[in-house]
Amino acid sequence: MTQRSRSLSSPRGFVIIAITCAILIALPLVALIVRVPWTNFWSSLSSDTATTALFLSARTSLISTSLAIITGLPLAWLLAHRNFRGIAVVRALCVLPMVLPPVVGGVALLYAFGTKGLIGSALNDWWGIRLGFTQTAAILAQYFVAVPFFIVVMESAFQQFDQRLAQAARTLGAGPWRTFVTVTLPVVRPALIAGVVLTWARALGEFGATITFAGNTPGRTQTLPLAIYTAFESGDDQALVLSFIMMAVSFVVLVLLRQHWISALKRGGQ
Amino acid sequence: MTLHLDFDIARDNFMLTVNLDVANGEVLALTGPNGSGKTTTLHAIAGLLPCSRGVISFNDVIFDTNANTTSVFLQPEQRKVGVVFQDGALFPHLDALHNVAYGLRTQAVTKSEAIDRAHKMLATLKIDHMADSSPHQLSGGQKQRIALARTLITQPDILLLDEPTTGLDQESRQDTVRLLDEIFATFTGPVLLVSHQHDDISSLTRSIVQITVERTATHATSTLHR
Repeated sequence: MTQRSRSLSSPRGFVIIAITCAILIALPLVALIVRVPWTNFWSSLSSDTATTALFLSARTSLISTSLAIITGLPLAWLLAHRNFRGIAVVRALCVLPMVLPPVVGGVALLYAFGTKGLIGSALNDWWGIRLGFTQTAAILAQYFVAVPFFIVVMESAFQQFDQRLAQAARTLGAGPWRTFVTVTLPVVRPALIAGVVLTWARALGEFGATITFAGNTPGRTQTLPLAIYTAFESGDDQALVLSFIMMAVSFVVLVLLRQHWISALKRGGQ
Repeated sequence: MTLHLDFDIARDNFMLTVNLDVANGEVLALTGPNGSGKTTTLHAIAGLLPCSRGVISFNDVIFDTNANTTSVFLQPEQRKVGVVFQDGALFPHLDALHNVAYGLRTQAVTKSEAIDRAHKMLATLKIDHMADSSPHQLSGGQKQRIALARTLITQPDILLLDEPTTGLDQESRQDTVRLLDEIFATFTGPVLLVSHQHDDISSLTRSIVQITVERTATHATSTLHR
């Protein structure tokens, strides 16, 4: 006797296609893990280039993420709550870096903040500040590509936020700042966490804009992705070790915030 | 000593005209169809939205005026107008006690004193046992009581209630009506109450004002006066 499936049937062929899709995603990751030189893992990781890149990445990504939070919150709040002329343009501009090839972002940053750039030339002429190819440039590049993620998540969260809660706070004597800090932010906290993690992950992985605008100087602008690229170009096993580290970090973040961020993104934080 | 309302609120396809004086100690009910501007009226008094023309004043203080020569708009936190929102609008991240204490913390009251007074306020309304409860653990009637406590503890000059009994079951509706009756007996300022529930209103208020609405295909005009 054959046993019939006791569930509603799926469209014919879906299962096989879905498995192919999953394999195409998983295979490269598995291939990388298989090739990681476990015997000299620690010596590769504790080399100067690796530790320098690790600490540089940690420092720059934390700074750029903090900047994204501080500057992104007011912008997201205004986009969600105020209706002003040109709001659609501002909204589109804010999201643009998400779909822009990062290398284009790097070129654009160079023309804005480079020594011959729109603002960069003035900075250089008046105060002798040169941003291009400095650590500040690496931070700016990360900020440029990552802040849109934060704005998008937070704007949606502020839109979903029950305005009556803020109104209640105001009638209870709280000013706009106190209302924002003691009511709005705590209520949208799930979205805030999701937004920060996404933004930080994007900043940590930033490559194209950084190499174009900040260059690839070890100890100054050579962040983890750039160090991986450089090591890989010279056929160094270090590329595998560092890649594995980045993969592990991403994976841990994803698992830790699995519930938090996916549901927060879907519901806009409520 | 009255709350003086003489203002218009104009939107794209909606016009609300309010012309009304409410005396201290008076309890006034606003009724009218959905979308007629009852809640909008409360929001204008509380400072949650500005009026398009006219004046809102209480005693000698101008809350809001928009005329050719003068323009005043007091922010909600400067008006001492207490609002009990529909369904309570309790802060979901705070327990009942800290919801009630919130309005004291915005004033120069220390944390321990605020908590102490919030406990007393909950005891007065006989809901002290809910102090540690989160808003999502409370029933509709309980939320309404906490919301009342949260508003009353700030000792507002004017009290506004938006559909305080809507969505409650029969029993908690009667409880709420009894409680409101006690509160209104001692409240010295003007009280405005929005409601659909005619039975509840009749036992609570001495005067009822009906908002009349005229609708055309594209435009609605609401008028509120005695």
